[in-house]
Amino acid sequence: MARSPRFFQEIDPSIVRRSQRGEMEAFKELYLFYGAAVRRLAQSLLNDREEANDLLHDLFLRLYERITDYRFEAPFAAWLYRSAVNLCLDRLRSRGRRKRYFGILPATSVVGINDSDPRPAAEAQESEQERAVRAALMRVPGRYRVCLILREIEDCSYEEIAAILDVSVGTVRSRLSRGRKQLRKLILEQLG
Amino acid sequence: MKPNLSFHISHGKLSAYLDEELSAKKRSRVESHLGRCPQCRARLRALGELRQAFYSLRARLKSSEAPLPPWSGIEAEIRCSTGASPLFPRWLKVASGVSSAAVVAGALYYYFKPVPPVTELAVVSREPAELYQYVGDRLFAPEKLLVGDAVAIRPELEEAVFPREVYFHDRSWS
Repeated sequence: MARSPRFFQEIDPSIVRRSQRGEMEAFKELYLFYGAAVRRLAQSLLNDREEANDLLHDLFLRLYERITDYRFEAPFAAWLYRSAVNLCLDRLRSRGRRKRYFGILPATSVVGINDSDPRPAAEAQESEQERAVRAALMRVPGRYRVCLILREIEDCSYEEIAAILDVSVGTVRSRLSRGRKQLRKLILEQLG
Repeated sequence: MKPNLSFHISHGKLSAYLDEELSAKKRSRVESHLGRCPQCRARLRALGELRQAFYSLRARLKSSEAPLPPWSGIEAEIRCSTGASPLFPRWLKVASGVSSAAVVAGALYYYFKPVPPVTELAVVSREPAELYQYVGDRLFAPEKLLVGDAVAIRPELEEAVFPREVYFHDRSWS
């Protein structure tokens, strides 16, 4: 399958520089360029469309405050996606705490269709296998899930994943291998 | 020669092979093993099936993408938020925060610093009396005193000097 044209694509550095000078138009360009990919990544990681929109909003508010921290040492896309992944992992951890302390299962952790979902019909057609994959994916530990999603959904190379997560290529390889092993086991359990 | 099938390809290597992330040399070794090992072929097939499941998930995710929420909402919030300006770099924010905290801490220390305890107290018995206090080799300006005035001689003042006949101590002067 062809690589997603927008995921790891670098934006013109002059737009990043203009954003660092506080130009709102440049920020808008960043949002339009990376927004969809960030939201898709968040949606895959959190399994919740509404929460993904919320995270996108938070990420760009945070980006406005912290964009001057970017030093052009790594690709801007990697820097931005790393922030997005960290925000997602924070939310997953807080879900875990809620579940642990209050016994509340977030509505979205159950694979199914949210009431707020604007396209329920499309998701209703989801095959049993897809449901099983999504459900199993949500049960794989976060660090493996991120690697699996970046590789399988966003079609990133090992080097790109390593740049986003700020780990070595060897670590990516081992996380992917372990993640796949666990995922397969969980899917087989789901499908009986 | 009979192929050695006592070892199988590791899961990590098989996974990297599937991702086309192996060097040409390793790739050809894996392919040569796969050619003669049905077990490893089955494991690779299982990994391939997993990938197929992801393909349909990916296609669905991409095809059902809703439009992005409008930028205007984020822009309005940025404009409302105070101090959130990239023109004011983070290090400058941190530096100004640290210096403000230092000023506040200094002011608090100045107002609430502990007063050293009075160790000696002299009471003036005759006029005129002038109090000279030395700190190190500095003589402080004399202070006019009246009869009955109590003069605190604090420990940080090394020596209090005034004519012996005009004062008495609450403790013996030595």
